[in-house]
Order: sequence, then C-alpha cells, then structure tokens
Amino acid sequence: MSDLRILVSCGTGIATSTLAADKLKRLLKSRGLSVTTASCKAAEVAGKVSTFRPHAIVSTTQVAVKVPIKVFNGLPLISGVGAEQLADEIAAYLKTLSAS
Amino acid sequence: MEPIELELTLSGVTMPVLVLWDLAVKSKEELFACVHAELLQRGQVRPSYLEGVLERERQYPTGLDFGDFAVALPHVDFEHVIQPALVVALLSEALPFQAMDDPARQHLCRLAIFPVLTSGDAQLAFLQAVTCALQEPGFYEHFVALQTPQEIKACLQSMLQIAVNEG
Repeated sequence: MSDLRILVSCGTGIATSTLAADKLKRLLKSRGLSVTTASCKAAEVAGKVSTFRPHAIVSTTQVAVKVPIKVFNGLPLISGVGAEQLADEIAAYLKTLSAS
Repeated sequence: MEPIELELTLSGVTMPVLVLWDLAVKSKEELFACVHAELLQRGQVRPSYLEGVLERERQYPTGLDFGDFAVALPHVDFEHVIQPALVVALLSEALPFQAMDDPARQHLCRLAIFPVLTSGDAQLAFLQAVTCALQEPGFYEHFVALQTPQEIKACLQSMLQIAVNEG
C-alpha cells in the first residue's frame, strides 16, 4: 500500500506530536514503509479520523474518545524506551492492513 | 546558584536558555511560579503564563519516563509567550509529575525542561535535541551531577552536537 496515513496526537498537536511523527517516519522508513503523518490535538482526534482517515493513531497522551482505529502509545518515540519495538509493532500492523 | 543564561544555536536558529540549578521548591506550583517569575522579569512571557502552564499540566501532564529516570516537560500554549526560551530546571529534590500517557500514574522528576515557544517547526528542534540527549546512555547522570555554570553551559552546548549527529 503506497498511501499509509498515521495520525499523531498530543496535548497541543504541536510539540511532542511533531517530535513523535519525525521519529516514527524515520523508524518506519528503515522498515521499508513510507507513511504520511498528520498531527493534531488529543481533543481533535475524533474529527481528524473522519477527515484524514488514518490507518493508525499514535498518541503521546491518552485518547479519551472511542475511535474505530487502532491507537498506539507514542511515548517511546519521545523517550526512546522501547521505540524500536513500537516501530516493529506499528510496521507489522500496517503490513496486515496492506495485506488485506 | 544564580540563574544561568546562555544562547544555543541550532540550524541557524538561536534560542535563549535559562538554567535554574538546584532549585529548592516543594511543589509543582512553586516550581512553576518560580519559572514564571524569572521569565516575566526577562519579558519573555505574559502574566498569563503561570495559569497557562498550570492548566496545561493539569489537562495534559508531562512526566516522561526515560527508563532509569523521569523528566517533566511542562508545555504552554503559544499565546502566553512573547519570546521563545528553553528553561532547564534542576530541583534539589524530585517532585511527582503525572505521567504523560496515564494521569493515574506519577513519575518522580528532578529535572524539568520547559519549552516556552511561540511557534512549532524550527523552535522544536531544541526540545528534540534535549529529548535526544536524554536518550544517550549516561547523559542524564552526568548532567545532573554538574556543579559549575561553566560545566553546565558546556554540557548544554555538547547536547546540540549529539542532536546534530543523530539527525
């Protein structure tokens, strides 16, 4: 699948989400996946799901709303603790989507 | 120790950095008030900064676990900021901050880094440099053990080098 979209959210949709999105793109690229990301505030996730139609959501804060998209905890992308493992999980998940 | 002021330059962007070292504060509120007073005095934030940073931390806490230690990254919305800055506060005693990903948990933090920003993009590189350096094995332990303004300034400069090498 060429057009994989990941929504990255944090408190303001600016600081940690941008850092997390940068890191995620690099880690997924090294796993052979090219993704498009969009950042948003945690409070805007529900709205962004309908407009951006992400294949997965990565959030550095809790996502309070229920959305029909898989949500990954993005903190490892900021702290580095478990970042490679998270990238593996997201890559594996995205590959299951493109296989179906 | 008196507040330390320095400037860091990364990819052509210069960021004033204020270091508050061995700060004896007993609560987050006291810490935020202290940072607010220093920034206000330098004309870097509006009077609304204090309420802004407190409210933001309540809504979206910033305690971040790096494995062997945790660091708080108290954010604030752009509207409270006049001039961008990065505040590095080392507390004499660790304080509990709620975890960024789960407000029900707390992390004890001795180091708090305040990104005081007026826009995203270029200014974010400094926050990225900090989180990047904190991931380097041994960096945190070395940093918090520093004793003199000269050592602290030199270490912060070297931190940018880590970021450049990683990027």
